[in-house]
Amino acid sequence: MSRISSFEVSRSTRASKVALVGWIVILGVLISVPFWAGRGDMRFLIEFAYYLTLAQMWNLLAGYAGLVSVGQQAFVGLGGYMLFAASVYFGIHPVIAIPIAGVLIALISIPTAFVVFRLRGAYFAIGTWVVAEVFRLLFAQISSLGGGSGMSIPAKIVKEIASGRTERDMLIYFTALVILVAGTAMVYLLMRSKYGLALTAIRDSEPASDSLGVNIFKTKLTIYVASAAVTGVVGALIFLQKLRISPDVAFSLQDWTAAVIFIVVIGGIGTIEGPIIGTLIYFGLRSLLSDYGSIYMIVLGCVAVVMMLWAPKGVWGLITQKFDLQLFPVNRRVTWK
Amino acid sequence: MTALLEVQNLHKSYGSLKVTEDISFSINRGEALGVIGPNGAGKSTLFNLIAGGIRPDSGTVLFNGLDVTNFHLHERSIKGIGRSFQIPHPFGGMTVFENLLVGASFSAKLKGQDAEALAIDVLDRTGLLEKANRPAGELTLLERKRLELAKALSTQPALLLLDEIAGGLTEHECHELVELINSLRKEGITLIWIEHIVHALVSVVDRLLVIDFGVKLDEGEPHAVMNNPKVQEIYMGISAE
Ligand SMILES: Nc1ncnc2c1ncn2[C@@H]1O[C@H](COP(=O)(O)OP(=O)(O)OP(=O)(O)O)[C@@H](O)[C@H]1O
Ligand SMILES: [Mg+2]
Repeated sequence: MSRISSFEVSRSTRASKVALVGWIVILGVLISVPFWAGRGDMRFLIEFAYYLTLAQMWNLLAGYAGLVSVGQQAFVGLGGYMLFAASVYFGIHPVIAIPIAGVLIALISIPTAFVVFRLRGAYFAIGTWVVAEVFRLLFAQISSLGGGSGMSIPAKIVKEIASGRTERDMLIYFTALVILVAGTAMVYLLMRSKYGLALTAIRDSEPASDSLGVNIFKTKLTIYVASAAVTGVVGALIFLQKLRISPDVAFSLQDWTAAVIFIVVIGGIGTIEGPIIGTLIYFGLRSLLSDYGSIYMIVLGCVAVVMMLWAPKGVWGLITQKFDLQLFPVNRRVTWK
Repeated sequence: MTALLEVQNLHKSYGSLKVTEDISFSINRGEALGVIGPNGAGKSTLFNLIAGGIRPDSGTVLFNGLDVTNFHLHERSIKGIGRSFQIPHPFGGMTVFENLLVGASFSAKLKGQDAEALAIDVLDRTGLLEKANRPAGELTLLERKRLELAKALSTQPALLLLDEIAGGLTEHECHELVELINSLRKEGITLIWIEHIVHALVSVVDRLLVIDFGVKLDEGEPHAVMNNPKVQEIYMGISAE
């Protein structure tokens, strides 16, 4: 009895406190990049940031909520098209259009969820892909958005984004950084909250979580909508950088979902650290194999298969097997005073 | 006195197999009811019908005067029906402490330190305090059964449904369990307990309900029920164990 009044619940470990300092240093370096790095480096980092954010969102969906979607390109494409529609037809500044796209996509994802949530497992995956295909075909029909061949943002609007090319690059870079940090923080805070508890419980046993008061449908729907919104925001960012959109690129399964699944599976599904490591590996392999054309996809596929067989928890899983490490501490530890 | 739980003419079949056939009974606040019957009689099914894991083909479940027959599992849990599973369902990827935070946060709807304090209190009462930081997936079968009881208690239930939690316990552990359940009763919990270990059951409950092939065979004061020749006939094998 005496112990009851004198307990404490903590999450941070010494390693996670060191890691926090590390993250702050990395963030500081990233903030300074536009002031010393070249254009190419910034382009690379923008791409890195949006892939990592997409990976965090797919991991939230599949790794934490068990919703294995292969249709996240639906929201990337919608985000891109909304940015184009908002800036070209409604005169909204593209950077302002990004959060607006996020809100609209959150709303669109709700009826979508009611369709795909009727399906389970593999059928859910196929259902999400079909939904994305429907959007692709739909946007190919909208001639005011360029139909099947797509459209570019008119030069006049591009000029209005920022005062010059350097300023525009800087604006897009910082937007990407904000989206990355906010997306990752969202996953981290969600997993530390009672919703994280509910998600882990649902993953381990649906009947038990249900009988402990967890509303499984509502929890999964919340995650689906949140992940769709952020994925849409990333989509808007991607096409703000590209300045050109077409249905095949916007709703590309290979670019926006297959590559992202690779990243998460390689890095370690169901962890926040995994997608970070996976993105590093993905970009590493990509630059190593960039001269070999299509062989690059074959190598990626082989690496993924080998990892799934040998290390289903990914590289981060291999690391935590050896070291008791948490860079984003989520678990609670009870200590007695 | 109004009944806390009233079950009226419940029917449930799986294909041609009638698992629950016209079962009715009620239980008052603070009462304890024991449920016995041979393997496959339909006892766990009855719990699922009460807690909301499955819907009856016909019949009604009234809880606190409210018709909850079409309520979801989580809604009934929030209303105050807590249950343990016969086959433990631990959240293997969480610590034992975190397992209890789920019910404390979502069913009992406690926040922050209140939820944590409830979790610690329940761990202490169920003898799991030492295991607080262990992943639940690493627990032994007996510890998992204890965790089932603890998780049910973490919802702060008004009605507690326990499905065979005493199997495999030593005489001493069984005695501790009976003491714990009696102390819960003193706090006002209403209890329905399925158990094959009749002597433990009889030392706790006010009444016994006997189910055989989905049908209610008898209900009443424990000793009178155990002396019913029909009950003795189907139950001999088990009570002699
Ligand atoms: N989902 C299901 N589909 C088909 N039959 C089922 C299903 N669930 C239970 N049954 C059958 O219903 C009958 C009653 O099962 P139940 O689990 O309620 O029995 P029980 O009295 O709890 O038995 P035990 O003492 O072994 O726990 C059994 O014959 C079982 O095989
Ligand atoms: Mg049973």
